[in-house]
Amino acid sequence: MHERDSTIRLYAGSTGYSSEAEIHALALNAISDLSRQFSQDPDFRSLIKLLAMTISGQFSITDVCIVLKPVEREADPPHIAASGRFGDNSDLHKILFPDELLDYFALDRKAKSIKDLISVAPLREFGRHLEASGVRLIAPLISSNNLIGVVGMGDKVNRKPMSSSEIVLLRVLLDSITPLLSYSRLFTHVSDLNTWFIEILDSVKHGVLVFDNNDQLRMVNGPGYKILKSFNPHLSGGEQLTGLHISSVFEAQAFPGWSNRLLKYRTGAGTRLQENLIAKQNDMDLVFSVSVSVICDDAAKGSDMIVTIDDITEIKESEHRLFELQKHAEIGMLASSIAHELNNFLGMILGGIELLDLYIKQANQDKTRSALDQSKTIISQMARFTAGLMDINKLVSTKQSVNINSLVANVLSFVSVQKKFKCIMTQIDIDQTVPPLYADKDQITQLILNLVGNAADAINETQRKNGCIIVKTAMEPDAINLSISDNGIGIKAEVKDKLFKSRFTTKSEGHGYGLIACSKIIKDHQAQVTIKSTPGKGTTFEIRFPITASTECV
Amino acid sequence: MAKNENIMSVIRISDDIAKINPGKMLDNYNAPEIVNILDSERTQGIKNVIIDMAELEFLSSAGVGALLGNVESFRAIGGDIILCNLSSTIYHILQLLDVADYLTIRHSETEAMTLSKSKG
Repeated sequence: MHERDSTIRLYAGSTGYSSEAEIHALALNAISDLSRQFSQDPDFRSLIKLLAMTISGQFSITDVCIVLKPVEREADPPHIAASGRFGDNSDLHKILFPDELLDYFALDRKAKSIKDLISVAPLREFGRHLEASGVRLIAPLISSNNLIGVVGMGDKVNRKPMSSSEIVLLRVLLDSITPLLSYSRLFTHVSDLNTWFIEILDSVKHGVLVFDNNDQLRMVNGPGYKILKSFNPHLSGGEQLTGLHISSVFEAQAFPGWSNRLLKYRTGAGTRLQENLIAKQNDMDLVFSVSVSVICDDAAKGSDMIVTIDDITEIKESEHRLFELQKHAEIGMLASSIAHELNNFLGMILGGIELLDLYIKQANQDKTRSALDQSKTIISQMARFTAGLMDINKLVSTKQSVNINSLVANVLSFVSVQKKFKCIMTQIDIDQTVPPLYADKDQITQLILNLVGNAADAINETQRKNGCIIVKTAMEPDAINLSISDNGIGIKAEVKDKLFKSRFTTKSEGHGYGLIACSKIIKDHQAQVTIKSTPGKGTTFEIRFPITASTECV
Repeated sequence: MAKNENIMSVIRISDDIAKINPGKMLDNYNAPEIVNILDSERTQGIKNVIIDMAELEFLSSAGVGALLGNVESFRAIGGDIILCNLSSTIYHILQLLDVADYLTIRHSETEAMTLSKSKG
């Protein structure tokens, strides 16, 4: 037989005592059972279900509901246990507890009729809501002067009102159970929060380990355990690690220097360490991103240290591979860029040789001499260019007094004999007032050569026969303006911004290196470039070389 | 007796009649169980449930509440919860709590069955 208070058995079923005493004995038995149940299973949800059944049986009421205020936020729905008709009533879930309810019941904490509740103005709406749900009697659940909920009851099965002794008995029952209910609810809430937090911790990518103020492991999340197990396959559960000192969790062979490094940052609150540490697994080096946070900096309680670890070995390997690829690409780009510049030089040399051929046939010694001199100049420039490549330290601009008008004339005379300029008319419009510019002659020659060459390509894309390139110099108040205009294919607005950026080209066979070099030259001379273009009609590049005290040559 | 030593059984007698034997006790520990059984049987089409209390030695307020809370739902579908084979002790508890007249009680299982079939 279930162990019970012998008094109960004496009362229950005996005829020698008053029925009221027997009823009280049943009520006491119910309180005793509920208390014992709480100690074994402190889930408040099952407790309120039993309380509803107990009240129903004890006071012969079929419809009973227990409505508890939410724990966290007032807007959360209440917790409800219901029997009889209240079990299907969804309106009970919409109950909002008025603040005045505690004061209403504070005097004697006895059950009141719902009509009485409705007669109190601040409680009217609350009372009507319950009345509409079928509640006829309402009793408070008060613990430590806090109203944690109410009990709503329908009519008794015999349709009689509750007697005064029943009202008192109900109060005794509720006063006994409500503290247990309050603790149970809090316990369940904390337990639910704990479960929720653990689920959150287990769902994050990082391993999370918490060490107490003695540097012993208190908690490790799922991903953290997985990482540690990969170093020690003999582990059979996170609990095996709990209580271990940090030096055993991060033992020296697999995690060299980790525990000393982590413990170094153990003073004070806040994040102290964020860096990458190496771990060793089967002769392989693995890279982990590690952070340390110290919380609860209280000398009395001590402080917990939270260590997060994330295996970033793959990320680092990918970064390294990408870096290597970029280096190769840059080397490739550099080689292509050099080839492009040499190509320009060779183009000019070829042009010069063709002129030579012409002048020799014409037996024009003066022009022959001039063409020879210019070819020698181009070859010297090329030699300086390649010499500079062999010694990276010499790849700096060598500035001197430069006649930009002469450079323009030289470039155009050489390129005009190239094949790609066959159907293109080149014009020079130079301003004789333009002073010498303090600039690198070779670089400016390169710049003009590249832009003129691009202009020719743009015209050839249109396949028009009346192609025209105009190179113009003009004097402005504090700058020399060099412009190269063409009636080529033009540049779309969205493309203009990208032109001088790395490797961008619109040419089907282009590579974009020429404009990279132009960009560098313009930058080296503190110049500015403006592009004006109409797609289908043509483009003008304007380069503005500022004349300052340092750039102007006297 | 520990709670897990009290065995509650359910037998289907016909398509709409079931019989429950609650064991020796109907109290806090198994009151939720009988509520679950009653809900389950009702949703599976059972209209009349006979509760054979021949073995029942103790009935708590929670046990009575478990029955009270479900009676109306069976009566609403034209059936009932019918208690039978009550001992004088158990009947006395129902009288104390003033529910004896409200609940449907028959002396024997045969009478309970006859009543169930007439309600069918």
